[in-house]
Amino acid sequence: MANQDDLTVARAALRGDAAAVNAVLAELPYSLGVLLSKCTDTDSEEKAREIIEDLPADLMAGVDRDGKAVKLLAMYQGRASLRSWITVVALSRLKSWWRGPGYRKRERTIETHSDQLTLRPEGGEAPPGDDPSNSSDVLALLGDALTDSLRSLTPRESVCLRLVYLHSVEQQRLARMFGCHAATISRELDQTKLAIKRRLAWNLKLLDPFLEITWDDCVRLCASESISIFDSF
Amino acid sequence: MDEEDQFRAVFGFLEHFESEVSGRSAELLDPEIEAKIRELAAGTLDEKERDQVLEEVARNRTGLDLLARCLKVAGPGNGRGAAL
Repeated sequence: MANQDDLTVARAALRGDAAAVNAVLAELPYSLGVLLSKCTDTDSEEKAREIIEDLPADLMAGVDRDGKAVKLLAMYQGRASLRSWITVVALSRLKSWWRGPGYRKRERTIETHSDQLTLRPEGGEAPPGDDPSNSSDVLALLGDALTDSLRSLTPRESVCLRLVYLHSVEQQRLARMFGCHAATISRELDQTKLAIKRRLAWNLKLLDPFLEITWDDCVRLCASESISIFDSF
Repeated sequence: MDEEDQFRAVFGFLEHFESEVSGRSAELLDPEIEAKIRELAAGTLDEKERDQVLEEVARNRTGLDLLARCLKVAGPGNGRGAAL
């Protein structure tokens, strides 16, 4: 895993380790700096600060889902650096807010190319105005949300889905393996797919409460792999 | 794109993404587990054993690959793929 150290810190923070919590919180000023560098009006700057202020609670205190507290940080899986991941989450929230009715769109001087996410050296500070993340970070968010959705499945559900949709195994053969009718497998797969769609929608809402992204959008992203969810902005 | 293709795209993305980020190092399978996976594919395990092997396969990519291969060569299905 490319960001194993960050993942270790995140997991420790989720367990309540004070030093790890502080390490996570220490990333927030950097994220705020990136957000502010994108703002050209005071409303946006105020929103950026509000988003960063809300993040610690979402990351570590947990949000209620079906009576169970779910922590946003639990969705971080080390695919990007923790700093990039938090910044992309915050940036996604800001950009979604810009798109929404809460923001009276005004002439802004953000140029289109400023949304083209660029790589930076590992551990290095991004120059002012530079975005710390890249398009793969955005896809990493979707990947994290999807992976978390799959983690909620039973082993049987998970294996069946992967066999059918990753390995193109016929459902009839699964039925033979389980000693049941093919219709049972088909029904189970339908229920599992519905559960994944619901869980994914919830996870994405947790990542970005302002983001209006549909299942079809997610599929398009998965199919293209290179399209930024910010491209529509 | 119908729902079947949508899920293929989603799982394809995850597979590609996982391998790109973490690399695809082949995990070794315990010979005992490998034998159990073959029995699972043949449909000869009882429910308890089946659940145990499924749990192993769910977290082991090599095990899943083996199970898929075994199922594909286990004999003709009804010719229907993902969509029944």
